[in-house]
Amino acid sequence: MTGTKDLLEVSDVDVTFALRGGLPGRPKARHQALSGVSLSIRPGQTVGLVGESGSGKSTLARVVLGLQPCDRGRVRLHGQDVDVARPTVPRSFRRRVQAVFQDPYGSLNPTMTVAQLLAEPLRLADTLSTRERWDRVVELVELVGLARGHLERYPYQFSGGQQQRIAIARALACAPELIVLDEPVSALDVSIQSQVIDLLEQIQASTGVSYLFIAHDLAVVRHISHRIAVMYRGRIVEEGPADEVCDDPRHPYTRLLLASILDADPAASAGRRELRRSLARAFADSLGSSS
Amino acid sequence: MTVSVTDPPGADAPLATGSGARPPGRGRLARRLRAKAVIPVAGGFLALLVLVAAAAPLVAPFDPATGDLLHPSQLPSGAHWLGTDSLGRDVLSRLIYGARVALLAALVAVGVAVALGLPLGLVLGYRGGWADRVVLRAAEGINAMPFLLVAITLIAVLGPGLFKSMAVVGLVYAVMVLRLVRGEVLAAREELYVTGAAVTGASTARILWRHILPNIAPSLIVQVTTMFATSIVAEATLSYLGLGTQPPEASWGNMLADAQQSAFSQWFLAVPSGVAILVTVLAFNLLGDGIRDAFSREDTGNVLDARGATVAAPAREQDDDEPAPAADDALVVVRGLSVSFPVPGQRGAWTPAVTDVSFSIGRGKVVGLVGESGSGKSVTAMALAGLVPSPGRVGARSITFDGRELAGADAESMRALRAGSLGVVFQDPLKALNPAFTIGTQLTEGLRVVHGMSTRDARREAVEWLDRVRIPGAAARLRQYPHEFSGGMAQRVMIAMALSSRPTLLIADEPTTALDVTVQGEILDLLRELQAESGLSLLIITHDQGVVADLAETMLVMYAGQLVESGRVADVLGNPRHPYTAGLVASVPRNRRRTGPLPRIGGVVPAADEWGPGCRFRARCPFATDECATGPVPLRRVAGGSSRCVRTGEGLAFADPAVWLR
Repeated sequence: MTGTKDLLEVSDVDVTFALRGGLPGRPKARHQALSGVSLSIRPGQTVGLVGESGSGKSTLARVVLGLQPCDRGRVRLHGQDVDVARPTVPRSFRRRVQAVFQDPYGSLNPTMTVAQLLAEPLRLADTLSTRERWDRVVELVELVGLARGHLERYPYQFSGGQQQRIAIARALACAPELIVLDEPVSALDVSIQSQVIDLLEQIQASTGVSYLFIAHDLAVVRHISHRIAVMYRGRIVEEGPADEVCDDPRHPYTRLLLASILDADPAASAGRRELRRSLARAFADSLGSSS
Repeated sequence: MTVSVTDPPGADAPLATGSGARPPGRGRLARRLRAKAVIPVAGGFLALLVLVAAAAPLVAPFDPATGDLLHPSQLPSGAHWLGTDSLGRDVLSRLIYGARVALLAALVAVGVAVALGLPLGLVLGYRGGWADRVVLRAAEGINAMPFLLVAITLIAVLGPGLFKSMAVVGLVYAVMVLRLVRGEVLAAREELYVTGAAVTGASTARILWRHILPNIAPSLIVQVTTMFATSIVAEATLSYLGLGTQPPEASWGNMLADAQQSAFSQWFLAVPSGVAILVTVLAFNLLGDGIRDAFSREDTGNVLDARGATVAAPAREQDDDEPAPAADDALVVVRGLSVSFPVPGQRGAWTPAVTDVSFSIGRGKVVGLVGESGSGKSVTAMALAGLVPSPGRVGARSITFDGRELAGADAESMRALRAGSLGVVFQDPLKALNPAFTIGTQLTEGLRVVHGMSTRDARREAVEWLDRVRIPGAAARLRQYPHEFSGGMAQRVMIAMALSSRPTLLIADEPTTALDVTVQGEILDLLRELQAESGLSLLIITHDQGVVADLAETMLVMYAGQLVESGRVADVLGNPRHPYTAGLVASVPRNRRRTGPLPRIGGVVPAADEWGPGCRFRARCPFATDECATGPVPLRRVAGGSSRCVRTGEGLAFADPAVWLR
């Protein structure tokens, strides 16, 4: 799985958080958010990361973004080690790895116009003239399917789907090599989810960017990912090609996740419910026997 | 209790259509500021005061320090509009020069406060750590002392004098600014856009200056404005005590002191300076309030004033077929429900959220209500529960619940209905539970207050309910607080709470949307079992057709405030008779091997001002013809349900996924 061709390589990473409280003088209780997590992403590929809330998906995303120091393990970008012990990361790394978050409105500064939001990363990179920067801003806004006329508006004037397009355009501004997408479509209506997923795929086809696509819905993840990793309680419990993981899941938790997908077919509901319940029991048993 | 209402009118901007553009953001603040009458009045007065103070030598009729000893303590006259003081000095002139002193003094105090408090607060709030803790403890110490006393002590050390004493006042105010800024920064630094800026590589200085400061500016401006008011009082107080402005220079404070000395010989002397202080302080405070109101986000409405439906005139927009007569034993029958909200910033303008919706819910039946955000589905359900927040206007030809007419019912009878016959479960259980009280307190409250149970009985009943929603260790769990519950467990508590008053109708608004998929299945199972057990009716609102397919027998589909399709779930999802339903079904993500692009509905739900005269879905519909734009499309009865589409019955393949790939 590891090789020199990997764009990003996370190996054997541990992250623990000190829990609040605890008496003075006593060691504080610690919560192990990630234990021995390894993951690699190739250029131009999408790796999907699924798991329930609290499973460590977002902590792993923060590690990849250089926002979360690790207790152990290493993160390499193009084979080069990134200092994982310190939360501050060189700007060259920042520019190569970007992020899009679940809540599109919260992730856009409400006091900035779309033009300002898109120009900021370019201004920080400081490689373009004012004129070139403006051209790039226009190019970006059109790339994500919005119009030039939208540039002078503020985030609140857009719908959720449009806000997510703006967030994607902002992440793309400095032509990153990897974008971490943390639940980018979970807050959107199903009709809008497909629009955003198609947009992400078009962008990948034309720019060769890689994605780490995090979601709790396996059906959505399957549609966009080349490979899928399933997390449970801080560990990756299954990893493999997307179709293999979804058609022939090996870990009982993956099976339960797959059986939990609801589809719009009432006739199949009863059978699927039975399956889900028996898998939930099987999974609970497997937890009982392993611990 | 939190009530989620659909997006505020106009939250959905048109996608790429370019038409119907909203006014650009710059006009927003100006418009809001103008809408508040207090701002121009208070601001205008203060601007005039500044002008007069600045031009004091030109405006004042006399020199403020030289008195006419031949005419002391005079009442107002033609020569001296506000009379003269005990030394024969013109009171009006002294008042004008006093304004100069008051404003300058306030400027010094506020300037010192902001110059020290703002940068320190920004850095401490963002960086935290030991420096933050040390400074904060010191600030708390200073705040614990009466501030005027602190100022007087410091002035006693430094010696009196206007600028010195106001700088000391500024120092004390700086602590307040620091605390305010630090607190705001602490909240703002958790915002996603701050994380986003860090990911883009923005420096700390830039994050503070460009991303955090503009967002905390509103509360800072409000604080600073009211600080001007207190500074003016502080100056007057200090000068009155002889610690500020030194005579013979005029200040409102020492004018009051003079007036006090001659209070028995000339009572009027205290009036001009007293009124000047009062009015100026009032103006600053009103300005502060006005600015705060202008900055606060759109009126979110107040559920405490929520009202039930009024009886609306039977005016109908479109010529819908009469809905199929509700079964005799129907629990809820809604006819012609409409809800509208005021347009923010435009007096008298209303935007419709729901128009002319009719449906019924049978006894012991499960009805699903689906649609995208902005379709009006939540507002419809909240109107039924009498929970539309207060500026909203609800009208209906008739809403009957268990045979009782609710249209025209007063707030009290709606409350009684909610307390007894109707339960509501919201999307985010952890937000819907009050974090300050234990689960037990919240769960027993309804039982004790509404049903008059003793505390002991209520607790026993609460334990039973937690058992019924399968929360293990119920008795111990009652003593825990909401944050000790996972999302799924908290939603079980909400369900227990809603069911404990044994309602006949349970409204569940996106009850599983905030939960993990594996937990979603468990909650749906629980709802199904409880519903079957108790025979209650269930209205489940969701954007997920999967939830409806899993739980409901009949369903309603809403789009842009209208009902567009209804019928049995198997019919509606299996063979949609409206293109919108078909598009929704096609875009549900399925666990299948992918062969090409994903089906979807292009565009977004139009805002009310973009509905136009024809079918509201036509801009996004692959089957739209010219006929669709001509006029309102009526809701027609079809086998087992209804559909609002002129092309229903033409035998078109609405549900063909290929249609939804464009």
